[in-house]
Amino acid sequence: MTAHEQNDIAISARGIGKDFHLYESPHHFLMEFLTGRSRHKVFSALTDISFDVKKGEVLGIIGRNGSGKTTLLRILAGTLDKTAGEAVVNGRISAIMALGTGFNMELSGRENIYLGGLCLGMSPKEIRSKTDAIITFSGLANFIDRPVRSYSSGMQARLAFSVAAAVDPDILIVDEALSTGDAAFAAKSYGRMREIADGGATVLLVTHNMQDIYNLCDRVIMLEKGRVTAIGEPREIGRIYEDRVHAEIAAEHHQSAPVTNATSPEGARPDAEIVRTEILKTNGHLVTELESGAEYLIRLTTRFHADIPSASIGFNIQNATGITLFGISTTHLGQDVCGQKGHEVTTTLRMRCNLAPGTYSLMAVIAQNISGIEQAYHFTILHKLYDAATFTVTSDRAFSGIADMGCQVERIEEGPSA
Amino acid sequence: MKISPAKKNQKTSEIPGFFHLKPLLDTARILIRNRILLWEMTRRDVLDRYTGQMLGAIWAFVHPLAMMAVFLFIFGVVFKMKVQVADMPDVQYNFAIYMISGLLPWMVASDAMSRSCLAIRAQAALVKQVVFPLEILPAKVAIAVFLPIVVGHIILAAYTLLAFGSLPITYLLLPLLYALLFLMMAGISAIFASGGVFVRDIKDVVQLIVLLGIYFAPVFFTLESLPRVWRILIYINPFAHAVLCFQDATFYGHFAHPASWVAFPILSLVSAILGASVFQKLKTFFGTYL
Repeated sequence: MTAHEQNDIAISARGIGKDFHLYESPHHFLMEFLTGRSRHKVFSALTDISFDVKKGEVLGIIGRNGSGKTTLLRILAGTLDKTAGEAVVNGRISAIMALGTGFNMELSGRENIYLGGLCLGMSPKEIRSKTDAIITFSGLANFIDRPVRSYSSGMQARLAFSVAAAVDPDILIVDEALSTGDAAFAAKSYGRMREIADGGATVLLVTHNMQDIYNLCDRVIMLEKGRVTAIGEPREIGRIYEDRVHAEIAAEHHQSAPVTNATSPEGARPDAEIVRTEILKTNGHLVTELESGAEYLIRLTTRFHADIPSASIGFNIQNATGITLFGISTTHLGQDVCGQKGHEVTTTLRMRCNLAPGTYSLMAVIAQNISGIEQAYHFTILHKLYDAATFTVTSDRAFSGIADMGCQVERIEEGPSA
Repeated sequence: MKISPAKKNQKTSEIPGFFHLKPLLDTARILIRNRILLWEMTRRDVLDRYTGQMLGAIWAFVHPLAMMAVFLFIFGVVFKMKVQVADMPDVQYNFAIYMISGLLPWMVASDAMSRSCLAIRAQAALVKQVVFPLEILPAKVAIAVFLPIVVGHIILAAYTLLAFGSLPITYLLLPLLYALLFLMMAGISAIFASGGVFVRDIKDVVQLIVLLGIYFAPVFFTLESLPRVWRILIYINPFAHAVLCFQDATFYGHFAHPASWVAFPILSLVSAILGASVFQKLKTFFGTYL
């Protein structure tokens, strides 16, 4: 590597591996140490991890729980030894791993800023000059002279981030530390991280929130079972990641499908049931990945085991947290379905997908209108199938929130203030 | 890529063995570079144990004073122990000075040993989550334990002045003895602190040493009062040499035990080198085993 390239690289990882030796009992380690005879099982947390991070880059690390994200960060930060490979880290590191990093619970927030700053390598003078800024940034001015043990976990995270970000680090490592902070502070923190990166420093970020990854990261590494499975553009890697998660959720549902199919506790067959749920493009192709803004067809196939003179067929769309974002049925749309015993009915509904990127699940429902279509609220559910289909949504448009409201700039006018 | 365990060790640490000068120099450099943090953490270590308590840091003085008073009462008043020294006739006062002279360095040693076992284990969050000079953790224990001995020597000097109207000139040797005792205890703390990460039983071993060790040093009796064969038990105890040197400084007033004045510096240096070597060798594994 030439001197010039060296200057450009903040972190260079080459074939990093980490094996944890699992001992059945702590003294087995000592026995092994003394006798040289192996007394452990090996668990490989990381295998052959190689990548470079440039100065001024924000690198996101994504992966499921237990994929080795934190282990990797700890090795790069130097708080954990590695068993193979080489990691070259150029510059001062400031790391926030999880909660309340190194705080002394009995001391006040202000004293912890001082002690924490020293721990992170700041000089007393530097800390004194930055204390006010740290307190302001944390938004904890009213609590700063109280002991940290009285802080909520969110408040501790705020203080930890505020101190770590004040160090002016060459490399800032943030490991899910902000997951307990509120949204306003998270937004402020991401702004600060961007600032740090724009100032030429490097940020390594672990988060499970894909939106943060899209908003903040220049590049993303995806870890799976301790290996790098993808490196690249956030959108691209995020899509791969969500596909994997989605595939796993789908597999889970497949396994549990017979259970969700059972509609009554006795397991008796309902008068009508949903047998198939499909999402199609308008050209008739099946899809699981939807583009925000495009039109799609939802095709629900129902089988009737009794004559139902007026049935209503519909669906609800729920996001990952279980909130129903949209629900519709044929009755809402002014039509009902007449089902004959032994027949299958296929209902196709057209909708425009205006959802934000993410993973969604669709619940299919068939209900019987008891008083006819005029009284839509008077019905009994015949069959309700949770997670009848799951799908992901991607979007080219940048916006925040859960739905694309199709906003445009109408006009921007300027004039002297009144 | 397969790496055999032997090769792996070489890769993770450049230190050749458990006894080498380089780790000590490295450790000293790290501690000097982080001296403000070291000082702050030591101050916190002394004060924090008593924060939120009514009498606060006063307890730091009450404990050693109470211990001294109890030992003085039992051995001086109840058992009426005496110190037979030819050129010092006033035995009543002298026993108190004799005992406290030896007790103070032993209190430093026992304090440092019992507190070092958890020095790292109790700070798992710091070790795992912060990029932090870990050398500070055992070092601050070895410094913090000196508060009682300094206070104790001030009281002892005042008492000696009241009783005899003068102080032995050898009091001037105390800074040197402090430095040697610090080296000795820093080394031992480093070994116990890093060992305590891997072997929890160390704290029980240390409790035993702390409990029995005082009787293997000439604190409540004089070396000369022991039969010659038994003196070997004292001489193999490294802390006994520290005790004898401190007694020379604040009680005898001259180099009454020249052998210990040779042994104490050597043992201190060996302890510091060994402690730094072990610590530097093991510290890479703390993160994995905590």
